Amino acid sequence: GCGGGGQQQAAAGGGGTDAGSSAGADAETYTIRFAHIENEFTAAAQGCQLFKKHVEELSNGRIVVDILGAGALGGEREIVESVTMANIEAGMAMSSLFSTYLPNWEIFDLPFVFKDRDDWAAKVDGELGQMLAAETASINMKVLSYFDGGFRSISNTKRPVASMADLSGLKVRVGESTLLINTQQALGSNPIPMSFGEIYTALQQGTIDGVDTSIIYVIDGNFQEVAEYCTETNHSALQMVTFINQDFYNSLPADLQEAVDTAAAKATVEQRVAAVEADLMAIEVMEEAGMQVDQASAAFSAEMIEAAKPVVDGYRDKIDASVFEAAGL
Amino acid sequence: MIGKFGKLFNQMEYYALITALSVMVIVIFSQVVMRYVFNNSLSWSEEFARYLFVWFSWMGVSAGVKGKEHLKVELLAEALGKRGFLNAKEVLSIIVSLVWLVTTLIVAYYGIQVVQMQMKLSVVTPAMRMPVWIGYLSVPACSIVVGIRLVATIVDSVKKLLGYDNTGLPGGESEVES
Amino acid sequence: MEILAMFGVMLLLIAIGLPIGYAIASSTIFTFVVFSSTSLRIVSQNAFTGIDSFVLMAIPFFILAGILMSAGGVARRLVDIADAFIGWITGGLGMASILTATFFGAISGSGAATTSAVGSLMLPEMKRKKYGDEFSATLIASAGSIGVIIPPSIPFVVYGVTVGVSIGDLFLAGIPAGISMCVALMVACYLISKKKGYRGSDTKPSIKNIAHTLKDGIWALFAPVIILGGIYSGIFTPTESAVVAVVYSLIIGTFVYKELTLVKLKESFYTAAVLNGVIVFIIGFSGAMAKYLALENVPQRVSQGILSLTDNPILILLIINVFLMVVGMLIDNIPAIIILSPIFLPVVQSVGVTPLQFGVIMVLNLAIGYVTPPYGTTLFVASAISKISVDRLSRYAIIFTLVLCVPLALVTYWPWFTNGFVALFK
Ligand code: NA
Ligand code: NA
Repeated sequence: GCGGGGQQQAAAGGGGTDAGSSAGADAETYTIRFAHIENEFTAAAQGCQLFKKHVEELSNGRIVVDILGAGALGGEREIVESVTMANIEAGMAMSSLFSTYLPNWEIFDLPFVFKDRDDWAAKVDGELGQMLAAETASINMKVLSYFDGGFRSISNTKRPVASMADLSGLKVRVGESTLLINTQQALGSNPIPMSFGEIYTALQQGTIDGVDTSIIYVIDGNFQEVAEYCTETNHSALQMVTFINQDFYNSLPADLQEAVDTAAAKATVEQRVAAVEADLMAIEVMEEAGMQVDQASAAFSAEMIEAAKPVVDGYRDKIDASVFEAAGL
Repeated sequence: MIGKFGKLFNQMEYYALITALSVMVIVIFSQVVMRYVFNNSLSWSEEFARYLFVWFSWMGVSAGVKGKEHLKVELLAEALGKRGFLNAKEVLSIIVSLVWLVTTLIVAYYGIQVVQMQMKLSVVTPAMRMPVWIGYLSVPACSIVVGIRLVATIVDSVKKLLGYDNTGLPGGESEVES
Repeated sequence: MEILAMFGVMLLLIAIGLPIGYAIASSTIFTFVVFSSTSLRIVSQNAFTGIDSFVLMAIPFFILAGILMSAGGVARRLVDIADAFIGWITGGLGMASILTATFFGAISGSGAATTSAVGSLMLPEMKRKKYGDEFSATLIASAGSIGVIIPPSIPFVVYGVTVGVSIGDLFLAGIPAGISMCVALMVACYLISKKKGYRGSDTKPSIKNIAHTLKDGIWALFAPVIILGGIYSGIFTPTESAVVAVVYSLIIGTFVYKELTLVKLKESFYTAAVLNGVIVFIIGFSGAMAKYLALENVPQRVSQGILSLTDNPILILLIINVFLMVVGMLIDNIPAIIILSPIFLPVVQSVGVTPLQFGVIMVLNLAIGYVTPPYGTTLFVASAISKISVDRLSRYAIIFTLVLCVPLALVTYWPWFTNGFVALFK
């Protein structure tokens, strides 16, 4: 039983590194080792399963996708590095992982770039998404899908956040990124960078009052057990990206490349439907746990957009003007 | 000449380790003070301390070779020594050092590849915008120092085996801690 | 097949005396070369990414705090307090050692540091009072293992990072387990001492003496309050609390007890640096081995294998405990945690054990492994201090291992000791 997996991988890895071996390409099978850090129930993790299903079907089993989820292969940064270095073939991570390589990718985390899900989908499927995807060739990667990770909201233990005044001084956890820190500072809160795993206890003990993440990840971290209020501020997109090693992709026969592309496209459409459903489910779970979930009012949103403008403008010299334009800024 | 250089290197290593640990203490402690006294978090401090920690840890690996501090099971060597098979014990230690040397050189070789890839992609850290390869460099750099020290150990053992050195076998090497 | 080859090569290399960390690296490299086409870059990559973590920085700080507390006179004052309380009873010196190790464990995150601090102070004293040499050394080694169960604890930090459990909660859950280890060892020490006629110290039980030692040692006793209180009140992260402990011990040792000199300081920092060096890199290489196992779906295969044998929770936990006990005899706790927790966690979760509880089960098993030859970390330290070879310590090692199985059983089969206790603070 042990040998099978190893040999299959040997074949696939061979495809990745010495691409010349495809003389008898038709008979060859490939394994895509696909890593991510999410729990099974998130829409993004479901999207990876959908990709697996479609690829295996469309390739008539000539491609096997081996999903290594829940962080079995390490954190997101490690996954991105492992795919660029061809240690594994594919993976999923937040867009911000790419901005350390490609500054233009910071556009996703800028505040209020996308008005709503439709606006977001139009932009990532349009010129913006294509421009950014084209850049990843320089790091030996090919973007497969832009998955929907929801929009960032603010959940907290203190008070309903309905105005700028409510945000003021709130100790809000943010992901470890300067841009996210700057955004919260502009909104008037007191940002505290912290890794996801420490949030629950920090909320419980009052090290932080709130957390900046999208609602599916609120229930992923069980924050509904400790937080009381959530406001869907939608201040930035939590962009999930799936990607494959470019050399490995190039080594696939043309029909299998097509199978991968088609599978990714199908998984993208279905994942976005799943993301909307997952959000509804998440809100239900949060409300059942006694959390109050609110939408930001139009007036409040307008105030936040105004307050966050300097952050956006601060990135005009870091991100290409053409990307800003494609994002509608 | 080589001995003199080795001595200088050991001195530098000693002070680099002490300094790195002191700086880590100071940086993290200031972070705590800044957050509670001035209500202000430093975004670079954590990243800086982490990279220093990786270098500090890998430098400690090679310093541990110098002081023979690495965690290991010595029952076989002890048993050989007790039964008077001193040559066999020496041969065993040479074999162990050779396996160790090959391993550390492989780690160094591929470590250099990783550094080169990070350089080519010009990846930088999020807060300080410092090249990431500087962190990765700790692995091959210190692995090479480990390798050099192992070669010295092997040369010593071979000399001993061939009878150039009659000072006898070292008795109680300092034991491990964790 | 490739898994057996990998572990076989690793154990062979450990047996001939290759340092544990490099035995793990060598066997991982061997397996990647022979059974997979994945580039060996993954090993060198993990040697960096595996330790590039803010949380793991707690390790050198907890080591340094322990060393500074020893060098600065804190350990000696803890001994005085323990001696004043129970030194006069039959076997009192042994019991005072256990109690001191428990106190000191609340400052130090490492079993070896605890053993070394307590052993260097107590072993000469026990020898003077005609306690058996083998008994004393093995007792100190066993008591030292409490150091990683009573928080703070390096193995709990590593487990928390590996599995993604709150380190604060793990620390909290270590308290009842550590106290029950302390009690179990004290009872065993008393019974053996009674049989062997080991007497107490010359200290007469007196309120005055107790009050005096408490007054002198108040700063030592205050250290755990800062470390643990700081973490639980949310003032510090574990790493920050470790740094605060370092700064605190610097201040106490230099200005209050006035025992830390510049020379001692330099030596303490260097010792901590080397100790950190020989531990932390193992995390990186173990991470590479764990990646190989994940790529081969080993966790799923083991999980299915065990569940196909039985689905009885009691039996499953027994199997895993026995396995971990054997692992603890052979390798260090840090690689064991990184390599094995992703393998066993799915199994135990399927029978209702929480990741928190499993963390305590695992670390306690591996702490017992500190005392079991051939590879026993605290046993090595005690052997070095007492100048008694490890094989002469084996007889008492077996006895104390069995004694420590009592707290292990409590933690394994009685969730109050872990989940229940932590829930009290929520
Ligand atoms: Na401890
Ligand atoms: Na052991």
